[in-house]
Amino acid sequence: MPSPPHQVTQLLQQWSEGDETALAKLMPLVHDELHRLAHQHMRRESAGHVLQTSALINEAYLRLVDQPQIRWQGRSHFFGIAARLMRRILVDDARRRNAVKRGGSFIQVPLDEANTVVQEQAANVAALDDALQRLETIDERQGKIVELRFFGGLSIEETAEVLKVSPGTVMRDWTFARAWLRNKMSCA
Amino acid sequence: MPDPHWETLKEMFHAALALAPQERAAYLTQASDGDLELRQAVEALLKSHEETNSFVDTPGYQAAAEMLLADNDLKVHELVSHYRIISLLGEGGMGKVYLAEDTNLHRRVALKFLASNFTQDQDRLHRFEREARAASALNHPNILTIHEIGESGGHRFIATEFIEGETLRERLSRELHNEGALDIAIQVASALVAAHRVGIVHRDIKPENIMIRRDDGLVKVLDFGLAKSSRTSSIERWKSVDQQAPEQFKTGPGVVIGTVAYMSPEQARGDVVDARTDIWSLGVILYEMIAGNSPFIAATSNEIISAILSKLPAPQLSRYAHDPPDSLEEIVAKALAKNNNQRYQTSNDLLTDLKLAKHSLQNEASTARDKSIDNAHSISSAKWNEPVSTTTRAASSAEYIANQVKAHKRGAIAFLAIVLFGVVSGVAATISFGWYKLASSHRLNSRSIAAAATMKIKRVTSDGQTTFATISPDGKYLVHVSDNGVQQSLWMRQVKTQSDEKQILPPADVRYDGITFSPDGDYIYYVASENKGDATLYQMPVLGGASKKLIVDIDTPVTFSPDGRRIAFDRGYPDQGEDALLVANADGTGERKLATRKGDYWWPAWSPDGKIIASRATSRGADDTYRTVVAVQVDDGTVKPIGSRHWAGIGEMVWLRDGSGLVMTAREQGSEPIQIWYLSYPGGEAHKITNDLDDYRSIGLTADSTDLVAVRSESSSNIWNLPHGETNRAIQLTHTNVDGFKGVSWSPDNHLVYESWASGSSEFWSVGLNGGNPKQLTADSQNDAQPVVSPDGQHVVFYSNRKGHNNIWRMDVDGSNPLQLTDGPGEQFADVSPDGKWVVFTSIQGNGTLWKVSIDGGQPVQLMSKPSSQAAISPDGKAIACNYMHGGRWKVAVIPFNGGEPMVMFDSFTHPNWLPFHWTLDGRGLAYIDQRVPSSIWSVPLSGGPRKLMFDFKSGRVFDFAWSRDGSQLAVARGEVTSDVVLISNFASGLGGY
Repeated sequence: MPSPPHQVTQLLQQWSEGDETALAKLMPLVHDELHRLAHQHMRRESAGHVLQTSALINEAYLRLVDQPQIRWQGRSHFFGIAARLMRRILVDDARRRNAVKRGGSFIQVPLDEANTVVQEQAANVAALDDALQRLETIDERQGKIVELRFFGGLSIEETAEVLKVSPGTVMRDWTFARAWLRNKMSCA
Repeated sequence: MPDPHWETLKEMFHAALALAPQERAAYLTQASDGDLELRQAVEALLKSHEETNSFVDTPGYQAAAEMLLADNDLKVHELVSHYRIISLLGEGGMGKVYLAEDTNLHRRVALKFLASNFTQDQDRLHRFEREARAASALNHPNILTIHEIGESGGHRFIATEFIEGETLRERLSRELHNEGALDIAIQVASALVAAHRVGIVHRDIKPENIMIRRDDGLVKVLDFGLAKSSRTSSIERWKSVDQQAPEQFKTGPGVVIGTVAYMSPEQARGDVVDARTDIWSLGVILYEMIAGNSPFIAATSNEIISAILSKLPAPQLSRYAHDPPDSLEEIVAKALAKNNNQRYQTSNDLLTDLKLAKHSLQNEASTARDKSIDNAHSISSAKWNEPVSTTTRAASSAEYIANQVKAHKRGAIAFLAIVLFGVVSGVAATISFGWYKLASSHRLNSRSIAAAATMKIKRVTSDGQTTFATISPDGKYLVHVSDNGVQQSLWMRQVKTQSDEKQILPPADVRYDGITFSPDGDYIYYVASENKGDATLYQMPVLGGASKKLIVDIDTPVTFSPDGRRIAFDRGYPDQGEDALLVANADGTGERKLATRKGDYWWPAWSPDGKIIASRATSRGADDTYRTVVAVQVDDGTVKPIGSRHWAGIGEMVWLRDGSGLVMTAREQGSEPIQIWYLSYPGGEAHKITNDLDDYRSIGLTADSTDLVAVRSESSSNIWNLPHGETNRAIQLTHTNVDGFKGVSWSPDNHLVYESWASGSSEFWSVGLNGGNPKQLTADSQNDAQPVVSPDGQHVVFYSNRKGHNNIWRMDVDGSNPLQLTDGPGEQFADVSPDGKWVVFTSIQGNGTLWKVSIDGGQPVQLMSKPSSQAAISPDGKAIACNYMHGGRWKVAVIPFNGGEPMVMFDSFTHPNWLPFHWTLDGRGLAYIDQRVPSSIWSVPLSGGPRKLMFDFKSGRVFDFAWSRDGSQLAVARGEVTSDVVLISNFASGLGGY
């Protein structure tokens, strides 16, 4: 069942104001909603169509966030929060998955050697988060750019708008950060 | 605060990137100014920049989608299709697995959901579905049963049976004895035999794919048919990884090292694999179970694969295991031959060797334990050791006849004939005999137990048509009955020479139900029954001469007193409802009743000391009826039990020469195969001698108890669909070899409901026109038989012994809402009237007659007072065709729907096997199975005139057939029934030197 939008909006706002307990309440709500939507999409789309996840996430936010009530410091703030939230959810999910994967045996669930794409993705997400955390300590802006681009799905222009820098700067930083992350992840 | 090093790094990176690639080196040399570390860092970044397809380049929401969609966190009590989620069991490579309840069948299942990335790959999905459907046709006790492959809410799932237990991987963490290891290997091999027989290769046999049930140690192999898709990709991945960067293989998240260890060399090379790859994998597992570690130990997958591929054989087991038996060493070596042409060529060969090894291991163990051997129940899972397709059981009609004929006083002999010889009299094609020690006999010693291994079994006949056999007291002559499906003939041959077989009685419309040699070996006494009158005992000189009629009305074979002067046998007196154990002189004179009892017959075996006659007996417990063995005192007729063991059925029995025990055919459960048992006397301890899935009947023993003959049977049936009745367009719908013995019926939407033994008991299944994905409708572990789908497609009417007796039941067409329609002492063979209101059935009450009951239950109404059975209602609902006793002979008659005198009568075409028959679609005739081999289907017009051939089959037997309502489909259950004589030599030594 979808959560009452105003509840999510309120929590998002509380979180953006630094209330970490709000995030704890927020995450399961968003997570459930994402799942629900994902399954709904699956039902609608015949197998073989790759789900347009950006659309999914947009839809999730639109549904979750009671737009008229937003009293954000503008749209960019919203995107920043959204990307952070997405990151938390994905990384949490990925780490949980990795834990399960390593967790040993299950009744009649042979641990298949063919690590599925999902498990690889989970490992990748976790590895990326590790690398990104390091990047953030070295270069906060690059970290932010990766978070917005990768987890928030923002374009170069949108990222520039959120960070109040030029698209050229975002492009440069993004190029470097990407190379740096690739390098880090392959050495991990 | 910006890190100066970082700023330099960025600057150099962007500067170099702005240059043409060939200019970058010069720039870096200059800009790094001797700082080698800095230069290398920039170069590494530049190299990373050039990489494509990095994870970082795909937006995170891609990963999110994949992960979220794979996530199918179902809630407890949530309903998926008709499965109610109970809990999450775990997460495997392909997706999540839940414990759920099948709300239709009220049983627990494992629901395995496929991850979305899996289902989004069309090729992979199709491959998976094709294989899973093929695998779902594999019905074998050692293969995890796939109930359904379904889809719900966009998610593909597989419903499988739920097993509580542990994987072999877990089991390996604790010590495993050689015998335990062999037991597991035997069960896995049995599963492989069943799969390989139908061309399914597992490709991924490993300890993680083998489950051991907690309760009884039953082994289940998982994921048949699923492996190909995933394995292929893993190999591809491995190969590509290996070519690009061997080092990554060690740490790459895509590969779990454990799996590589079970890969065959051909698999590791990426070659085409076949059944022999599974044999290799099982060899590795066997090695690991015994040695405690894998034969190919190495730090990395690459090294393991190199060891697998290398010329060097696996290290000797003895390097790790304490004193492994030679036989095991040999088996492992042969299973792990690098060249698959030098390996075991079939899983059956491997299975045979494993069984032999286990047997010799048990003998050794018994020898070591010497005299103080406890009861031999040490063979718990042995009964699963045979491939399921060799399952043999009495066919529907056999069991039907049992009651049917008994009701009509053809009495005991016919009962035995049918239950034990039956329609499904079979063959013993494969020599895989499970000898098990008779260790618990108090008289056994170590020497004699070791001798058990010297028992040898040999198939003596090969026509597959033997129904009965016995051996002369001196072991020289073998007499057997051959049955071509309609007529029987009697044959004799010399055991030693194998040749010189002569026909001593030509094929005739006669059933021979018992042959006994006189103790001096000069005469054979045989019981013959024709389709009229009572069975008759004849005496025939062994060396030739005419048969002499001795006794009319006899219901079992005779047994001789040790001096050969008297005989004993059973005779039923239907008027009094009792059976008598009679003793007479060997020439048939001087009959006297030794003992009588109501509602149960005797099957006597005179003891070597002449004092008692052993027989089977029926007892009624609180909920069930069972058989025991009793001893009748010859002097006063008092009856005492021998032991307290219960069986579901006991056939004939013979004494060992010294009177220390009996050998008999019996089964513990009605659904189990009939096996040879040993019962000690007077102790009454019972032990199964054979342990396989064939049926044994008709045992005979030489005077010195050295050689034993028995008839061993095997039957198979699968269902075929003939669109528009065209035999050349036949499609095989089922593949388990145990489908349709007890009925097939179409629903109006052309789904076939059929009986199958696939799950280990007679249950109903349903399958569509294209075959594949059969769905199990019932799971009551009882005997459900003869399903008839009601004309409106709502219900299936059938009979079942769920409540102890056979009764008529009804259920919804999906298996739900079972409703008991009758609760008499025995009702069978239902048919539903075309208006869907009435169910006509046969009750054993009133001598076996037709009754009807409302489809909603209620008070049944008797339709016929004369013996009649097996109703088939005409398409217009006005008439019933049935077996009908007229003038002492069975006929097939057409009577009015509400009973009365026959309107039309035919000579019986259902005799002797009482197979079902049906109306032709136009309602103007009856269609029936000509039981000769190969079977054919004929029609006979009600208006008179010659019969017409409808369908001709090139081989095998037909057990049932059914037209769809619209006539466009014809389902035929057909297969083989083969039975041959086996000679077991050195029998006595096996029993301990009696």
